[in-house]
Amino acid sequence: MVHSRQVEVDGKQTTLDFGHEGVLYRQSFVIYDTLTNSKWNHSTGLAMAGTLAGTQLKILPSWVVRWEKWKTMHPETKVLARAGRGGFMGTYVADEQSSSFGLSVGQGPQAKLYPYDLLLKKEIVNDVVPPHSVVVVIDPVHMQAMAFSRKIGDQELLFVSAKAKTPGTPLIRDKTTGTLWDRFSGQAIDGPLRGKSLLPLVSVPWLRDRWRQIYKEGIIYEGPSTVQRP
Amino acid sequence: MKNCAIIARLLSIAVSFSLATTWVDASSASTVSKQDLEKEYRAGSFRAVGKDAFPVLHNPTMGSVADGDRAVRPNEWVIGFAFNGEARAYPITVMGFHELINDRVGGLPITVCW
Repeated sequence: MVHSRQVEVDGKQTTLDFGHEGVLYRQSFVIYDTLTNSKWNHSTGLAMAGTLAGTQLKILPSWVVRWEKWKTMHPETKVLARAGRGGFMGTYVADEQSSSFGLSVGQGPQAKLYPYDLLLKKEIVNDVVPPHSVVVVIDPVHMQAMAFSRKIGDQELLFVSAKAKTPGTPLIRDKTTGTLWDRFSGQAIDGPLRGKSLLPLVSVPWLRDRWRQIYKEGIIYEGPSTVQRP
Repeated sequence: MKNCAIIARLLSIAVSFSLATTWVDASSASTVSKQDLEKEYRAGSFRAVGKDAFPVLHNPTMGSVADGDRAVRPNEWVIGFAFNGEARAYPITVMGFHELINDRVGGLPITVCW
């Protein structure tokens, strides 16, 4: 998760620095800011104790992707390669641990988690996470999941896999207009809606059991008509 | 159940961001009182390790793609962030060791955590 460190403190834009509190709140670590020593939930970016309690850090759009994919997306990228590795959480190799992960979409009681193993079977899920109609997609080659709004203007689209000669194609097709879309950039590349872009929604890969601790009322998606409630 | 309701309310922030602004405006924050937030925090938290036990990084030295290729397996996950023409990758295996990073990307001060 990536957050902005800029918040308003006493009416002034302030840049905070964070340290690690060493405390777990519902299985998510707590961090503190060095200015006020307020305690923040690092998963949600919300200050829960101290003078800044109630302040929310801006969530910034970030990606969780394989290294080989990221460097092709951003050939000039810098990488944190010389720091310590491992620790108690071990090495994360997505395709070996897909059953532990899901893509979290939305916030609060409406939040939903889309398990990676289900996404790998379906590749494309058309669903609703209020207030949005969403399409959730996964790239099975790079284990990268994304969520977009299915609305373009007033029109709600329904997506299906785009049959292509090349396996692992990034293309999806909306049945509504027949437009072909790039499933990762959300851009329409051919058809009536060419040039339009789907609105990406904040979505973050989570470990399923950690997600359930924070989103007690959230829904783990199991299919179009069945949901797993807590 | 009361705690669940509080969590639900405090997590009710804006979820969508536009391509134009590129980030979430989470200014709608919490409508829960500070007292209730602190109460929920105390009820749901415990000390796992000492304060500052993790070696948090501040503006860490970043390597090139070639450095990354030597240190990171191709199929390892990284947290990728790009802003103002600058892109950075934080391998999750590294995040598990340091837990928290204070950095600046494209002029924007950010925190990265896993």
